Parts: sequence; structure tokens; C-alpha cells
Amino acid sequence: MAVVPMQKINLWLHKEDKAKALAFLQSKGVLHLTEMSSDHEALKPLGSDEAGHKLEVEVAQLDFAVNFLTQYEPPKKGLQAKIDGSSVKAHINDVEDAVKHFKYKDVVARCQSVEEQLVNLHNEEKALEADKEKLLPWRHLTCALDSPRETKYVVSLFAVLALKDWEVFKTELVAISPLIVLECDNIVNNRVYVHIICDHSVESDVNGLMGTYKAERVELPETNGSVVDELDRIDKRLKEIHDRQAQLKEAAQELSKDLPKLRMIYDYVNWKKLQKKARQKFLATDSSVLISGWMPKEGLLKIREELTQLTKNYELLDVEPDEGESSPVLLKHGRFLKPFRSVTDIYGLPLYHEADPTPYLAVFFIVYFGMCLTDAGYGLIMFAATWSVLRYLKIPKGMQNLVRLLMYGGILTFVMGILFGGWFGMTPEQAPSFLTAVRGDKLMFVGQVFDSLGNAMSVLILSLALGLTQTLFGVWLNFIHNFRNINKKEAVLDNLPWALILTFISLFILVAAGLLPAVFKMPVIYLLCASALFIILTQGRKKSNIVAKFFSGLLSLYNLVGYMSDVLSYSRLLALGLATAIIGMAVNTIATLANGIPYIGIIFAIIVLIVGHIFNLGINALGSFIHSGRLQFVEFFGKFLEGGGAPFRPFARESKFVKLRK
Amino acid sequence: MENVIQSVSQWGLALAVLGGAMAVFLGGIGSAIGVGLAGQAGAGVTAEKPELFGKVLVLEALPATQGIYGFLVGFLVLMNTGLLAGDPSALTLSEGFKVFFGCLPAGISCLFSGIHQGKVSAAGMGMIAKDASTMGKAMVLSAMVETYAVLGFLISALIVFSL
Repeated sequence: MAVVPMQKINLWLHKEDKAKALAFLQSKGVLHLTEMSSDHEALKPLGSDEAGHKLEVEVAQLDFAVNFLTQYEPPKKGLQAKIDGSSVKAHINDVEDAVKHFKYKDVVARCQSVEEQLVNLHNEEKALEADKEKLLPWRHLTCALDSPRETKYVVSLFAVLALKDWEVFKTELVAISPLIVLECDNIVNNRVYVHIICDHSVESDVNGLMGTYKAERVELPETNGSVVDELDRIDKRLKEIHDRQAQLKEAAQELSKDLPKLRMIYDYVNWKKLQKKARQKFLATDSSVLISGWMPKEGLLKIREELTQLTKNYELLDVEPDEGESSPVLLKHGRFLKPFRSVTDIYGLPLYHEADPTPYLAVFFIVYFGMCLTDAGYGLIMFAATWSVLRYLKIPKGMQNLVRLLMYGGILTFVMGILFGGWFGMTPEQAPSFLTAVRGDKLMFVGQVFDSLGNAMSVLILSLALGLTQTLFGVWLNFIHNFRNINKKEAVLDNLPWALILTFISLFILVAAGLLPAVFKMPVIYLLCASALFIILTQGRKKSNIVAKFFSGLLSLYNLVGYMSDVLSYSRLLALGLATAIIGMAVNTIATLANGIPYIGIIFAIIVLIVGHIFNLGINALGSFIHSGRLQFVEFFGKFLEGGGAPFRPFARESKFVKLRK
Repeated sequence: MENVIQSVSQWGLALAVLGGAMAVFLGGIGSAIGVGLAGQAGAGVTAEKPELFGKVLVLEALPATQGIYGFLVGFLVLMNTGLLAGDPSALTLSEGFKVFFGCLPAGISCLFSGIHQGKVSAAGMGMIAKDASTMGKAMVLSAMVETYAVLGFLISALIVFSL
């Protein structure tokens, strides 16, 4: 339920057992490897080897095959299948079976061949289509394309020019000489395609005229038969290509049936690669290997036992961490607290010696979340939606925590909604009668205690009181944690004075507000002064001379302003609660106006109600989550937490697809 | 119109409506600029990594709340002056000024916090583009700016309520 205690270990192995032991350690996933360096001559870094490079190539190939085939995988049907996506649930034996019996190298080779052919066909198709486009305007040309373009006396030219210049061009061309023949003309898209045959003697004149009218010369391919024959040939080839593409795609679809196996194998080979990568952190002598890392203290004994079954030739030593080295941080929580990890994770991990904030923020976070929404109707909707997601769908573990947290949030929103009288933004007069009751001379909702619209002050005071409570909780937590686990003297001198003065200030407020009997007034004031004196005496003690000590201590009282601004920050609870209530009201008002339209008004009203309330719930649930979280991170964590711990990342079977079944 | 100018009794109501309108449009401007800034950065991220669209949308939506706070103050003014029900109450000039000034905290704080929250959201887009798991942190950074819009809205709402 807290930060898991860690032990740094050194594991010496005989080189022969290395592979076996690594596979074992990876399957357990309990060792956070650390980098090592050595000054000793016999102890050298192990480095990487040939097999490691081979595995990297293999992983890259498998990655290619999986990505390639995924394009041809039939689309997933149903919500659950979409959520599962490409993950594969399997037992470790299934994975090993697949690696042993499934000829994945053949599949990879076939994928490569299919992909290569598809790429080639695609390129050919593009080239043919370009040719076809070029030839189409020439389809009236009857002569064979391989007939000579130049003879002893004449030359044959193909050209394109704009239609507007055509008539002038034709007249001028024919006027040049009788030795010019215009063979064909075809008009497509305001462009004229012409075949000119002329005598060598006038070729330069023709070229000059073509330049004047910006006619482009076209080089047609020199193939057998006419343009129409060539077009037929291209169409035939295109059809062949399309057929072949369809065949290849079918083949790829057939191959994609093996995707689950391929995915398992990808992960398996990747695990092997990770084993090889891990060795770069090891040191080795001629015959032995040294592995160093962090392990949770709890499981150490069991690992020792199981290693013994594996080999006799090992030594597992508990060692002291290097200077300045801090332990990686792993947090462990029970079933109820786990969802709140989604909140802690946003901030990051505490340092190893600090307290795990998750259990302390849980109640505050969820109550604040409820207060920011304060609508029983929205609470019910949230609870129903998240509950059915958890009940009827299998969603990834990380997501589950968040959804469960929102489910708790839904419950608290319902409770807060009842206390604050929030029901879909309705006023008591609009609500159905079973929800309301006459209290005094006022119509209120059943169970309503606060009226944030009518009497906002009481809710503001409640918000600030919650803030003061959490601030007090934070400073006492800091003192107790430091006193117990770190340094008793420092805790008493540094943390206790603040815990005391804030406690007495709170008591004083209670007395002043008449919540505590007035007889306590004088004692509380004396205690308050005493604790202020305590602060002045202790906070400057690290200064060199008595004057600096005094003033430093006196100035530190200024920190109280910081605590005050922290408490005031909790006023946002009222503001966000109000925002939900007023948007809800606005939606209802607009729906009422829409209902005024004759005949179809009711339809508009229903649409406005549904869309409006879903929008309100969505935007305010997001706001509630962020602001409730912010109150933890900024106002609460600041009291007792520095944060920034390095996460515990064990050497384990990290999978992209496989979800291992126990 | 002449009737209204001459009868001072209507000025209070006019001032109140002016205040509500200012809260709405100042908050709206702040959010429009803020969401615009965040949206531009978000489009860049989406072009590179379309799978992050959901997260981009959430970050982009954060500076949208200022406009809502402004709208809410405007709505409260309409409701509490009875304009919404079609039965406007006669406000004195001093009551009108009270509502007018009461609307300013929400309007002005939403204007500026909307713009700046948009900038922080846009910067957060860069964070999630690099590492999608920093989403929570990017949201909290952005929400820090919203605090002042929340406080402005709170005071405005309390003043308009006290009408």
C-alpha cells in the first residue's frame, strides 16, 4: 500500500548459465537493471554479440511482416473486437509452440515477395497509365507506329497546339510549300493533335512556324501496329496487372490469417532481443558474469530459491547503493486504491524515501470531484455508463483504472448532487414532486442540505473548510512521515511548528465562529502565540549569528500567507459547482423556449435537452477532474512531497501484442 | 428609444444588460483566441500523429471554458433581471451599475486567461507530440491559467446573485 521497499543486489553467474538465468529473470520481471562500470582489469563490460545483431534484423523483418499484413486483415466487427485491436491473449506455452512449429520465416519471405511484386506492379501500372494518357488523343492515327519517322526525302512530325491557333496555323503551313502534308487532326480539350509530313527542304520553316504558334512536338513510342493496337496492348496489360494485384491481395489476406501467430512470434523474438540488449549493462570476467540491479525486498527470498533450482553456480549478494544513487520507485496498492493511481501518475512518482500520496489524496480527490459536478442526475449517468463499460467490455488495464475512478466519481457526484440539490439543473419548482419536499416555507429537493444558488456563502465556507482540512492533513503527514522515517530532530524543529500553528489557527477559527465553546478562546490564543514563538526560534537556527537567526525566524512567519492562498484556492470548488448548475439551468431554459414553437417544438426541446446536458456533463467532468487533480498536485503535494522518483522498470517480457495468461 | 433615454428608470436595466453582454463577449474573445492558438498547434500534431486526435481535442477544449464562464454570467444577468422570463424588473441606476461592475471580473479575467491558457495548451501540444503519456501534465499546466478565470467568474456570479 505504499512505496515498495527495494534492495540493490549483485548477481554473479557462471557464463554457461547466463542465457538460462536471463530467460528466468525476464519471465519473473522483478529486476531493475543498473549500468555498471569497473576499474578492475579482469572485469570488463560484456558488450553485444553477433546473435544480438541477428535478432535485431529478425525483429525488424517480423515488424515489417506484421505491419504489411495488418493492412489486409479483415476489419474488426463489434465494439469489443475494436477495443482488443491487435492484442493477442495467450499462454506462454502457446507462444513457444508457435515459435517452434510455425514456419514464420517462410511467411516473412512470402510477405516480402508479395510486397515487392505489389510495388513493382504499382510502378508499372503508373507508367502504363501515363503512356495511355499520352496516346489517347492520337487514336485516329492509322499508320503503324514503327513506320520510319524519317526517309531520304521526307520527315514525319507529331505536334500539339492550341485550338484557337489551329486555323491560322493550317493556312500558313500549307502556304509554305506544296511539299507539306497534314495527315491527321484530332481535337481534344481545346488542343489539336496533328501529324505533319514534309520535305527536308522545308523542315526548318515548319519548325519555325510551330515555334511561333507554340506547338509542342510529341515523340510517340515506336512500337508495332497502330496507336489503337498499342492502346489495346496497354489495356490488356493493365487488366493483367489488376488481376495479379487482386491475386496478390488475396494471398496477403490469406497470409493475414496467421497474424495472431506472427504477432506472438514478434513479441517472443523481441523478448530474446531484449535479453541480448540487457547484456550490455553487465560486466564479465573470463568465466563469470556480474549482473547488478534493484529488486523488491519482498520477493528476494523466492527468487533465490528458484535460482537455486536452476543452477548451483551463482551468488546473489545484497549490496549498498553507490553514493548518490537512489532506488527506483514502485508503488503498490490494494483493489480500492488502484484507480487513484491515474491521479498520482499525472504528477509522477514520489522519491523513494517519501510517502506514497495515493492513499492520502484518494478521499479528497473524489469528494472534490463530486463537489465540482454536484448533480445527482449526472452522477447516475456517469455511474451507469462506467459501470456497464467495466461489466460488459474488457478494456486494457491502464484504462480500467481511469474508468473505475470515474465510476467512484459518479457515485460521489450523485451524493453531492443530493446534498446540494442538483438534478439536471432543475429548480425545485420544475422537478417532479417525488423529488421535492417543503422545508419551512421553501420548496427544496429531498435530502438537500446546501443551496449553492440561493446561499453561495455557506458553500464557499464549506470549500475553504475542506481546503484548510487538507492543508492541515498535509503538514501533519509531512511531520509524521519525516519523524518516523527520516530525521526525528529535523522533523520536530522544521515541520512540527508549522503543523502546530496551523492547528491552533484552525481551532481559533472554530472558536471565533462559535463552533467551539468560548472558554477555549484564551487558551487557544496562548497556544497560537507559543507556536509562533516556536517558529521564530527554530526557523532561523541555521543562520550564523543571533540577529540573523531572529530575523530569519520572524520573516519565516510570512510563509503563513502561502498557506492562506492555498486555502483560498479551494474556492474553485464552489465556482465549478456553480458552473455545472447554471449551464444545466441554461440548457433547461433554452429547451423551454424551444418547446414554445408550435407542433415541432417538443422535438427541438428534447434534442436541446439531450445534447445540452451531455455537453455540460462532458465539459464539467473534464474540468472537475483537472481542477480536483490540481488541488492535489499544487496545494496538497506541496506540503509533503518533492516528487520526481525514477520509475521501477524491471527487465521483463515487454510485449507489443501478447497479453500473457497466467 | 427617446422614451428610454428620458426615463432614467430604464437606465439601470440597460447598464445591467451591458454588463452581461460584456461578460459574454470578452470571455468569448478570450476563448476564441485561446482555442484558435491551441487548434493551430493541434492541427500540426494531428498531421504528424493522427492517432493523438482525441488528446489534441481535449487540450484544445481547455481554453474554451472562459467563454462558457462569460456566457454564464450573461445568463445570470438575464435571469436575475427577469429579462429571460419576459418580465424585466425595474433596476435603479445604482443597481444597474452594481451589475455592470460585477460583470467585469469575469469578462476581463476570462479575456486574458483564455488567451494565455490557449498559449499553454499550444505548448502542451508539443509535449504530447513528443510523448503522449505527458497528457495529464500538459492538462494541469494549462488548467493553472484557468484558475483566474474561475476566480473572476466566482466573484461576478456572487455579485449578480446578490441582486
